[in-house]
Amino acid sequence: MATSLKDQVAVIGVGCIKFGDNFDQGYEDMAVDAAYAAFHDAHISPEEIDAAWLGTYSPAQGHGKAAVSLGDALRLYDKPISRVENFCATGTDAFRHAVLAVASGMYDTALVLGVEKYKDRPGRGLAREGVHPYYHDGSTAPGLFALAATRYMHEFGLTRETLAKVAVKNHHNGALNAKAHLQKEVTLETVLTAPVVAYPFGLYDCCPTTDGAAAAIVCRADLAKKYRTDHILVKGVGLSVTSGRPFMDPNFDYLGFRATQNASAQAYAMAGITDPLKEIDVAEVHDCFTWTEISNYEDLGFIQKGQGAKLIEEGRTALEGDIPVNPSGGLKSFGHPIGASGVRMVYEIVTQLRGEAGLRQVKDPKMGLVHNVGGPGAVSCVAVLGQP
Amino acid sequence: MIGITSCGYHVPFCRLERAHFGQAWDRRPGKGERAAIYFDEDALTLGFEAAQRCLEYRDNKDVDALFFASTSAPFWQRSTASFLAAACDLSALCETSDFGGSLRSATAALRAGVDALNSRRLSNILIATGEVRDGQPGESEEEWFGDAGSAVTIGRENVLAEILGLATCSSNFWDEWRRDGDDFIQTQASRFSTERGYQKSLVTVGRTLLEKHGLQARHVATVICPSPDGRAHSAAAKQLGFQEPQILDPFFVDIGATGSAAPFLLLAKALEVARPGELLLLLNYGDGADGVLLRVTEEIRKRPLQSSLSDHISERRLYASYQIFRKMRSYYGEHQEAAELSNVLLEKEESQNVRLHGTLCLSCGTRQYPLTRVCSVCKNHDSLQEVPLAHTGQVFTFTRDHLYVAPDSPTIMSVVDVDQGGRLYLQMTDVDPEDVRIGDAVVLTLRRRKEGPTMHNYYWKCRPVR
Repeated sequence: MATSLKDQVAVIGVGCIKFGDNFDQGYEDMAVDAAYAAFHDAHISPEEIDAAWLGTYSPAQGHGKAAVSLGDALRLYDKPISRVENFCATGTDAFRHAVLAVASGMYDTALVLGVEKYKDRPGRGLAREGVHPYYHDGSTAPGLFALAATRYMHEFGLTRETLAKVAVKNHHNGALNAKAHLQKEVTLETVLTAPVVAYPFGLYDCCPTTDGAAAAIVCRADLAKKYRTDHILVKGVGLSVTSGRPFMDPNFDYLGFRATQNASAQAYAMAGITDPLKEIDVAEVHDCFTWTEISNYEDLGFIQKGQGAKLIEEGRTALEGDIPVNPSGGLKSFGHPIGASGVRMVYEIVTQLRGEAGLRQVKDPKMGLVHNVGGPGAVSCVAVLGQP
Repeated sequence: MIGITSCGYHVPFCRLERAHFGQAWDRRPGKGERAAIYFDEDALTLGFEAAQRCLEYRDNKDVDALFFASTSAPFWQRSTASFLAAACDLSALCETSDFGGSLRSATAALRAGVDALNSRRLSNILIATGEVRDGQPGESEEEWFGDAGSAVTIGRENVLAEILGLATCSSNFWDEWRRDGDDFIQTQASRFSTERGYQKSLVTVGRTLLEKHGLQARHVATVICPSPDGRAHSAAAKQLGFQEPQILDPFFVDIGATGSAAPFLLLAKALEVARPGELLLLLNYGDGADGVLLRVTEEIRKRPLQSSLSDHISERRLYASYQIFRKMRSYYGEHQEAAELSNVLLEKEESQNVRLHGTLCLSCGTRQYPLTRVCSVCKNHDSLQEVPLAHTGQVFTFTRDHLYVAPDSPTIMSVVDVDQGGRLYLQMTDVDPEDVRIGDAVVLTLRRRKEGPTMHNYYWKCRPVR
C-alpha cells in the first residue's frame, strides 16, 4: 500500500463561475474568472503559484491538446503546467495530480483549473472524439449508462419512479444555488413524463451539457496559515482505471462500477475511514444520470449493492438527511462541463466544510467526499477533504 | 449428381403498402405490398443474410467458391463476392466471382457454377444474390419492384434437387435498363414488352429444355417464373402447356418483383412442398432467358429448410408513408457523417470486424471480443487463440437511444452474449423498439453503417430471430 498523504496538503482557495449556457463567455473568459476567484479566495497572487494542472476534456479551440490553454488564458508563463484528461474524472484527477505534487515536496503551491466550453462547438457539444469507427457506432453518453441502468433495474427491480426521486432531490438543491445551471424545482410527474433520451432515462434523468470553470489552490499544509486560517485539509485521494470498453468485457455485470469501488477504497484507506456512511458528512458524487447516483451510493460503500434505492427513498441523501449527497444540485442541476466538474465539486465541499454554503448548507460537516466516474465505469477518481 | 444442396432467402423486414404509392402520386391504389430496405440494407447485406441462412449461420467449411449476382451491387468496382466471402469467413483460397448487368445474373452464376462442378474444379459453390430495385419515382415500377436477397449452394453431396439440364437464349430486346449514372431503372413497359420480350424469351427457353429432355408440361410438377407484374408469368407458362395449379405464385403481390433475387427465392419456396422424384422447371428472364430443369431427390425429406416463405414475410414492419420509404433509400446519399477510414486499419482489423473472430483464452476458456493480446479475465498472454465467434446469442442489456442521430429513431443499442462465449456491443435492427427484452434470442447480421466520404462501411448488428 502506498503511503498516505493525509493532512499534508491544504486547500486554501476555491473559485467557481456561474455554470450554464455561457453564450457570452469564451474558454479564456471562464478560465480567468474561475482562477482569479480562487486567487482572491486564497489571498495569493498568480506569481506565487509554483505549478498548475489543467483539467479539460476539450481544450480551447486553436490551442491544441497541450496545457497551453491554461497558460495562455492567465498569461501564466514559464511555469510547469500539465493538462489532465481522464474522461469524466478529468477535474478530480487534475486535483489529485496537484495534491500529489505538493505532497511530494516538489512545489509549495499549485493551481488546479477545470474548464470546459461546449456551447461553441458543433453538435451541441455532444460530438465524441477518439471512438472506434465501428465499435462505438450508435453509442452516446446516456445510452452507455442506460445499458447499466436497464440491467440493474432487471436484477434489482429498481423503478423509474425511484430514479426520478434523484432528479427531484438534485433539482431542489440546485434551485438553492445561484451558480447552478438549472435553478428550478421539478416534480416527480414532470420527470416521469418527460421525453425519453435513452431508455430508461428521460430528459430529467440526464445532466445537461454545460459551460463552466472552477479552480482550487492547494499548498503545503504547514504553509496554509500564511494564506488563511480556515483552510481545508486533503485526507485522501484515489484513482482507478478499468476497461474503456466495459461493454465488451464478458464478465462485467453492469450493476455498478469497479473503478468507483477501488478509487474510494484507496481514498478511504489514506483518510483512515472505515465506515463511510457514518464518517462522511457531505458528498458530491457523479450523478451524470439518476441511476449513476444510486449506483454510487453502493460503490462508495454507503450501502450494500442492490440497496441504494433505500437511501433516496428514505430521504437520507437529502440536504437534511444523515448523508447529504449533491447539496450543490449535482451534475444533474449544476451542470457537467467535464473537466470543470471535479474541481467544482472540490469548490462545493470546501464551501460546505467552511460553513459558507448559505441556503444549501448541510449541518456541521467535518468530512466531505468528491467523486467522479466516467467511461462509463472506465475511470473513477475520489478525494476526501476534511476539517483540520 | 450435381444439384442444389441448400437454399435461403431474406426479405427485408420493412414493407410499403402499394396504396401509399397511389396516394403519393394520385392514382389508383395498387394491391399488396412491396418489400423495402431499411436504411442499413443494400444488395450486399441482403445477399449476406441469405448466404448466412444457407450456411446455417456458421457452417462454412466445405464451401470453395462464392458467386454474387445482382444488378444493384453497392460498388461498380470492388467485388461484393469477395466481401461476402470474408463476412462468411471463407478461406482466402476460395474462388469469388461477381455476376451482374442483367436480371439473369443469378441463373448466369448458376450456369457457371454447374460448369465448374462438372469440370471438377470446384465442389461446393455458394451463390448469393441481393437486389435493391428502384423504379423511377411516380412510375408503376416503383411500386411493382421489391428488394430481397436469396442464395443457394450447389454441389455433389446431399443434393436436394438434381440439376438435370440447362438452356439459355440471348435477346437484345430493350425492356429494362439502367445507364451508368442512372439512379432509377428505365423502362418502356407496355404489352409489347411483356409479349415480345418476357414471354417470347421464356417460352423459347422452356420449350427448348422440355424438348431436349423429351418432356411435356404435364410431366413437370411445378414451373417457377419470376414475374414482372404478377400476370405475365402465367401467360408464358400456359403457352408452354402448363395449367394454373402447376404455376408457382411469384409472390408479386406480397413483396414485388425482386430481380436477380427472385429465381432462388422462388426455388426455395417450391422446395418447401416438393416431393422426391418431382420435376421442377425454373425459367428466368432478362435480356434473354435461362432455364433450369431439376428433379427433387430423397434428400428433401431429411433436410430442414428455412421456415416457410409465407411465415418469413408475415413478420414485418409497414412503413407509415411513402416519404419514409424514400427516406430509407436515400439516407446514405445525403448524410456523409463518418470519417474516412484508413485501409490500413480496415485490413488489420478485418478478422475481427468482418470475419467476426475473437480471442479464446486457452488458460481460462474465456472468449472475448475484439481480438486481445492479454486475457481480460486471467491476464494470460502466452496461450491465446483466434477463433470464430457464433452468429447467434442473447441480449444481456439494451437501451433505446433517442439522442443518437439516425434516420430512424430510437436506435436500439444492445450488449449481446454470443453462444459459446464472447460479448459484443451492437445496434439492433429489424425490431419494434418496444419489443426488446433482456434475454431475447438474436442473430448477428452485417449491415451498412454511416457512409464515409468515399466508402460504404459495413459492420455487425443484431436482429431478432425471424
